[in-house]
Amino acid sequence: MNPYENLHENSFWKLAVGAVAPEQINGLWTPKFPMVQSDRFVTYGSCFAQHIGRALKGRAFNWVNVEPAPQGMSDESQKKFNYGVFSSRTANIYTSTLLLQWTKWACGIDEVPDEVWQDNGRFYDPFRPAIEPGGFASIAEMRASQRVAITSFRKAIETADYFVFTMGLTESWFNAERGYEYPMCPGTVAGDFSPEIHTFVNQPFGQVLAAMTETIALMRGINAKIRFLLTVSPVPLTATKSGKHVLTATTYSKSVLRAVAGQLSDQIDCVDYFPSYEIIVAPVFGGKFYEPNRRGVTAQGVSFVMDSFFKCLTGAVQPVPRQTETAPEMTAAQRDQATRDALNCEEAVLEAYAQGRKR
Amino acid sequence: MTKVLVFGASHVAQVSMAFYALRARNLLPPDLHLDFLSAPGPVIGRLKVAGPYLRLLEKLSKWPDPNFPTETFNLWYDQTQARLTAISGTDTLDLRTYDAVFYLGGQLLSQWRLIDKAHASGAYSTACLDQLCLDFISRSDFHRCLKQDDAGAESCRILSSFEPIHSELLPDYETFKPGLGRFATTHDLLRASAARMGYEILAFPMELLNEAGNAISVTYHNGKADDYGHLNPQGGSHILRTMLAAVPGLAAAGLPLLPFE
Repeated sequence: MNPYENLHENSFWKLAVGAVAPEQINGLWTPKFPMVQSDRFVTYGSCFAQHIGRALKGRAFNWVNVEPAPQGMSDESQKKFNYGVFSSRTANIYTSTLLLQWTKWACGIDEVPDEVWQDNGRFYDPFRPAIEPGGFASIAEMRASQRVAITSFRKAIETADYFVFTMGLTESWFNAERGYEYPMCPGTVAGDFSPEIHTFVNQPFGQVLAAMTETIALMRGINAKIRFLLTVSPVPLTATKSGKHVLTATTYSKSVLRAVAGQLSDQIDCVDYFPSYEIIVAPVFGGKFYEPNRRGVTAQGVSFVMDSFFKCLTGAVQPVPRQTETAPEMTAAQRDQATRDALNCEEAVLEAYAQGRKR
Repeated sequence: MTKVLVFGASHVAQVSMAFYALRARNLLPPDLHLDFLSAPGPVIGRLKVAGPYLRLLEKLSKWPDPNFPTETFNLWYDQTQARLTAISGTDTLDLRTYDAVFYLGGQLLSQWRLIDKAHASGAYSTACLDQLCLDFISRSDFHRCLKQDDAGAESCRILSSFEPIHSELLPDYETFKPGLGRFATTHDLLRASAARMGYEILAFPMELLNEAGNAISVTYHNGKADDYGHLNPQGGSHILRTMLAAVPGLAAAGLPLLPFE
């Protein structure tokens, strides 16, 4: 008798992966919590988090939008103005330290810095540089929008049963003089870059873990019942400032995020981790869920991830290869819509800086 | 002679009543000639300006309004078509034959409360509110009618008027009272957004509104118990006056309102 003799089939590579068609691999996630459709979900994070929000809405889960567009605005205009992309208009929150920064603003621990970016008579929010197409008409308008976004973010924390956060990057940019973080390097989407002021930080494991731990504690201080579902974005870095090759930089970044998510999930009762990252990235899937640029995730990949999510959630997971009842599949129309709906990702703008280079 | 065309929604009828009443009192310049074309209910959605021509699109087999039987809409359509033919002699009206052309209605104000609500919340930027107005205008019969599908075509200047909002006599209407100032703000936002789309919209005659800024004053109710959408001829004369004031040469003469008797 030894500890391996009575393990579940999913514990053995040969049974769970090696002898199974990739699309039949299941049971990758055993939810910690009995999530049901009526639970209130809020979604934030990197670009990939948008897929989760859409999928929750598409399956009639109670995805909460605390900062909705004005009633009557067209879907196209809502997307243009970044409404309904996340549960409030934070834009992408790529790093755990940026999530902590937003949380401290929402808690009133820190004041929002008074920095404003200006270009051609329009005003840009350094913490959401692409939130308003063409920028704001005035500083006062930009500040008012910031206040609404922060108030809404707090409301999301207060009302959510589940805070779903997709961790995206470890590479980050800080204001060296004042210590706060930007979601994007100044001078890319908007603003001006100053090497004396703007500092690059590739966050190590300890910094990411500490930021997430503090964030969770702060949010639990606002809403003692809130639970967290973490994911790691499978989308590689558009560009790296680390000095490393972008492929190894991506591996470092995702490895740190995955390790932090795993540790938080293992050590904190109110935190769970859903392996969307593994479902897309794992070698067993042969990279088939990536678009030809080997970066973007295909609609098929997104569907596969979200189908897995809902199958696991409804308890439809059994050892391979038994067939069981499954959650409803996305309709063809939903898949088409997913294909059409490009994500709102500021980070993708960095690709423009590759233009004109070799290859 | 100054030739003017007023076409659009059923509200055109009250403007025409005002015109003929003023004409009967010799209160208008004698060489002023007005043609009126009213397309009631959903028939307004069948009016289309292409280049300098106004025409009526084909009759629908199913009308997008469940409130009346198909026969009623067909009758309204036939009446509109007959009127168009009576004015032009054909099924198409050449707008270049007029000194001024006015379009009235098209649900431009139908969603004004949503715009007001968004503006009053303070949660939205000016660009966002402008986009909201653009979205509403883009979905309106007004835009469907006046949008030039062929950008290169010769066109004719058309000035537009907002349709009246409902009467304060409407039973059970809300107690929402934004005040005249907020109505005016919404009205200005819509006009500015429409201008960015290339449309010229005349200022709505604010004297038609009640003090709460949420409905047409009882003074201008048409007297029909089941009709809270249309003005009386006195109300129509206010709209007529804003139109004629925009016709070159007429404003200076001083334009009258239809008196109450």
